[in-house]
Amino acid sequence: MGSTCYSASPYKERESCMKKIILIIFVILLSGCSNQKDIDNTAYVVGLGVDVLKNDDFLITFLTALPTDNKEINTKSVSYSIPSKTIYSASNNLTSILNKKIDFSHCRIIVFSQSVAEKGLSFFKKTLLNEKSFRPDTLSAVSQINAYDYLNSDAIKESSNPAGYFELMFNSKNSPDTVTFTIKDFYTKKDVVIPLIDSSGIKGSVILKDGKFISYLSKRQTMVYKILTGDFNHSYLSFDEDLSVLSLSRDKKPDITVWGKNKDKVNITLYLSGEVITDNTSKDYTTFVNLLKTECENFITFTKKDLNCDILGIYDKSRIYFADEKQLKDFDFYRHFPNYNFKINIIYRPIITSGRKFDL
Amino acid sequence: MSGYKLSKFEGTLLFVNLICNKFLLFTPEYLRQVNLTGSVLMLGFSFLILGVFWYFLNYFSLPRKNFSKTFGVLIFIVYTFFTAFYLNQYIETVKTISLVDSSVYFIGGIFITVMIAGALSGIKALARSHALFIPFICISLLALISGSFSSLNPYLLFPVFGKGGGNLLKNGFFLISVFTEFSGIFILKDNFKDLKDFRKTGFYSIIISFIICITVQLSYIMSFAENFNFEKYPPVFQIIRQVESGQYFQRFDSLFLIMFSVSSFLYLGSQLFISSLAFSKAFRLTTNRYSVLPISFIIISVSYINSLQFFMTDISKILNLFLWAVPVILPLLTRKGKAV
Repeated sequence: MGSTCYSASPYKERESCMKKIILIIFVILLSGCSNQKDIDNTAYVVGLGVDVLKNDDFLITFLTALPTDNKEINTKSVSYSIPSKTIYSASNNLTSILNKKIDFSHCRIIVFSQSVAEKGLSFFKKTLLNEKSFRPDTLSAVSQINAYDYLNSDAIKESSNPAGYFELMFNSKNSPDTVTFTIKDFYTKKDVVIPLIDSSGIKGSVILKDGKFISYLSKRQTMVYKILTGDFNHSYLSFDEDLSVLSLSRDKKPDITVWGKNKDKVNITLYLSGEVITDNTSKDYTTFVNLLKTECENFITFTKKDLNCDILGIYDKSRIYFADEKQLKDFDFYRHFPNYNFKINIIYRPIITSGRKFDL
Repeated sequence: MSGYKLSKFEGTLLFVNLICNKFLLFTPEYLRQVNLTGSVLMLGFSFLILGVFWYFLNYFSLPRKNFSKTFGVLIFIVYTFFTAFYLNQYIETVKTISLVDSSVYFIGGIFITVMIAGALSGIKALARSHALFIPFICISLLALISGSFSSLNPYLLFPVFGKGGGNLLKNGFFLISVFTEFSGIFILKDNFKDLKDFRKTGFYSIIISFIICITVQLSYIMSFAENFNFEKYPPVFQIIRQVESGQYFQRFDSLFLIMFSVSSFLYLGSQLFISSLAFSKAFRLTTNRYSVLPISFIIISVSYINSLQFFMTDISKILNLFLWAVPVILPLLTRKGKAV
């Protein structure tokens, strides 16, 4: 036995590089055929609706894309409704009806009717997050009307691109009083704010606590929520007392700090800037800022006292004060939360344009 | 060919892939349990491994011919078992995330073929393939994870002691078994040009592995609240699924699949090669070529046990009791044993 160990190799030094490249190209090209998806054999779901039936089953509505270049056909989507216990058994039934494979990877929205939200979304939450075919950025909304009616409304039926329609409609950057909710938000948040829709569009939002519907928020309240969370970019604010309009922008994300011996004091600092764009107002911007501050305080009192739900993520921010999870659990956050003291501080930067300055 | 001398670059990337591959496939359970402090512990363990490695460097600088049988056989057993378990997990994961309609035997066939071909190709082919692919994989991995930074919640790292100080001490120490594959560097010692290259390779591979480990781990902890942690898909896959970049670049899953496949192919080939090399060195065989196929049969047989992952879940706690010893204590055996 020799003491030296050899690891013999058939690797040939002078093997042609070209052969390998051709082999790699063939492997890449041929491997594509093994799991091919023909567009004709696949039904692409772009929207999904969930309603509850009288026997506690669900009515699952699939809005599928109709890819065609025929200009005589105006409809770009077809909907199918199937009563079932789960989304996936309805999907199996739809497969046997259409003889096509159902693909959820292009699903842009999941609409739950209000009755489903009242029963609780916990069941759907888990099944959606555990299934690979649903993208984490799939939008979600609660509908005041039936989800079936919403997905069959004229606005969606007549839209040339339903997926694009949903993306535009629920884009919170476009509208100051629209909140965007994607199913990946279920990953990190306990109490969530989810958009509320009806046939005419977005009506505001609703609060879900542990996946269950507990309250509506008006459009104005939704905007205040967005200002407090920093999801807000720009808006024109008008107040009831006056016809004045405040053009308000966010300078940077708000600071939310939890402090105090009992971890029950919360400081929220909002960094805003803007200008009063009405000419004939006698009021200074400080009046409007104070009005906004009062509105924010009222909103927080409503969510913590009346609803006892933590939509601003205070629970997460107080985690830092606990040594381990047992302590955090023993603290029983929701028992103390209605008594938390919130202090809102608005750092407002008035925009003074040069033109106005010289007019003076 | 044992005559081929690994450069620092090739050697580093080889061991970075061997150590970090587990972060593409699964996150060590205990590191997740202990949250932020687990990461700090990892830093400590990295320094510990570096220290142990430094200590044994002096020993390896002595003129010596071969390993002790105990060391070789233990490395062989550990590497063979790891390869079998990883092969099983690769097959299951690819079946879950990509080739849903294909049979596990077909997917397994691809992995087994690549594994045997890789091991037979020898260290030169393996090292050069690592040097070619692993930098791209590391950079893409870090770049893709950085794409998810906007959706990370740093408060999820707290409370600092995770599930408690006792849990941390009890389970945290065994995190060191993350570096088990690093022990393969002692098997490949003869394939380095000199001790300087050997030392630098060891240091760089530990530091880069630590950076990748911590980045992946912290991103994962900050992405998902604890009540939604689930291990069905690889953690990096879940993080990457959340990444968006504008209207046109929304999906990076396929990039993950390429990274995952290439990394797993290289991992399996290298593991089988090192396993067969350890066996050959332990029993003073002239070549490792003829032990590749028999070892691969053992690996395939073990990996096709249907309940292997359930079995692994049950015994992972027991495994963690001794696996930490592989990179730290095992080289001691070569010193105490009659290694010359």
